[in-house]
Amino acid sequence: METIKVGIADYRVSRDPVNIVTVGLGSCVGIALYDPVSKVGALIHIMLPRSTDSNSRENKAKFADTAIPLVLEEMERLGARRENIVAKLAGGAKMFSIMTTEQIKHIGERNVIAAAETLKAEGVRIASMETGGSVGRTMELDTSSGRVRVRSVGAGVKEI
Amino acid sequence: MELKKAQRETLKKLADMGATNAASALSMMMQEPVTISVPHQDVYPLTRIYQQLEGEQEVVGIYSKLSGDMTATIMIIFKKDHAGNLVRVLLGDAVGRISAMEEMTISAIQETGNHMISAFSNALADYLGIRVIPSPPGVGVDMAGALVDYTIIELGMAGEVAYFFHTDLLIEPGALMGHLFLFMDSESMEKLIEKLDRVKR
Repeated sequence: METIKVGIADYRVSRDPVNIVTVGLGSCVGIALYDPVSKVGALIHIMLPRSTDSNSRENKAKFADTAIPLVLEEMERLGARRENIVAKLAGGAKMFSIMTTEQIKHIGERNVIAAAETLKAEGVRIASMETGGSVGRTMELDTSSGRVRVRSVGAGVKEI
Repeated sequence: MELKKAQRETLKKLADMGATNAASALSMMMQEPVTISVPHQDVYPLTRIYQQLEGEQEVVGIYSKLSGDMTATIMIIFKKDHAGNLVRVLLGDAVGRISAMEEMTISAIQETGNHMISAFSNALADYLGIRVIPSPPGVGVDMAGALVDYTIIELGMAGEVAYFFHTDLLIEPGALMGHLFLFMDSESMEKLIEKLDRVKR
């Protein structure tokens, strides 16, 4: 099966059986979206909670609150149905104990909260989460099955 | 922001000087020669900086934010084996397992980072005649991508691009020990350019 990589502030949507991978999530959050009926899947790698958190808003994939609606619409265009879509989240860690500015201190946690709130507003259920702590994570969505694997240093691979 | 050729040259010289000083601070602690590669510098989209890293490789990262008359972020990344060697030199043979975040190990790396970052920022401060204050370094042992994403997030609050300086830290001919990165957003870069233009060349 083909492996597709997702960079930071980016996403991929597919209705074909592929592995969509995003590597090295720290405070960023990976959001896997999947419709088990149409087998349309998507993986988003957001870096900030809301578009109001940046002076530069052109890239909608950068923010949880703008990336999620954008990707859901794209999934629907490929045949997914909103009521079938489930979400899984990973990331949102705090990698350094010394965080200099107040604005960014709890950015990982804020990313997770913003993603959860946006999903709720969009009517998408969160099936599982592997978030917080102080570990980096790699996240992989298999669109043939909807399985999501999270890999971290020390804890190995875990299905969520 | 477009940089003039002369400004680019001066910036390169400045960063080169800082990195050379940081490498010699490391060399003193390692008790062996450490050199730097020819530095790369450019204005990059944030997403491309991330792509340049071997994101999943487990590394030791040291992070510090410069403030005062200039604003920038320094990130030093050591390959794990080399960080282990470094800790062995500093603390003796008994220690040196980096996987566990032992307090002694982390504080030894933090101390090394402190020396390197001070050497870097002092070189800049002296050359430009400005005040540069580094924050106490943070240390993390994890995937390279995960350690750098925090810096990318911070830069992402200001814009889509960052001024980016990168050099390899080398021991013996050819052996890569790690990397030194300097990141700046456009606003910080403009301020630095103003200072550069005032320095007599």
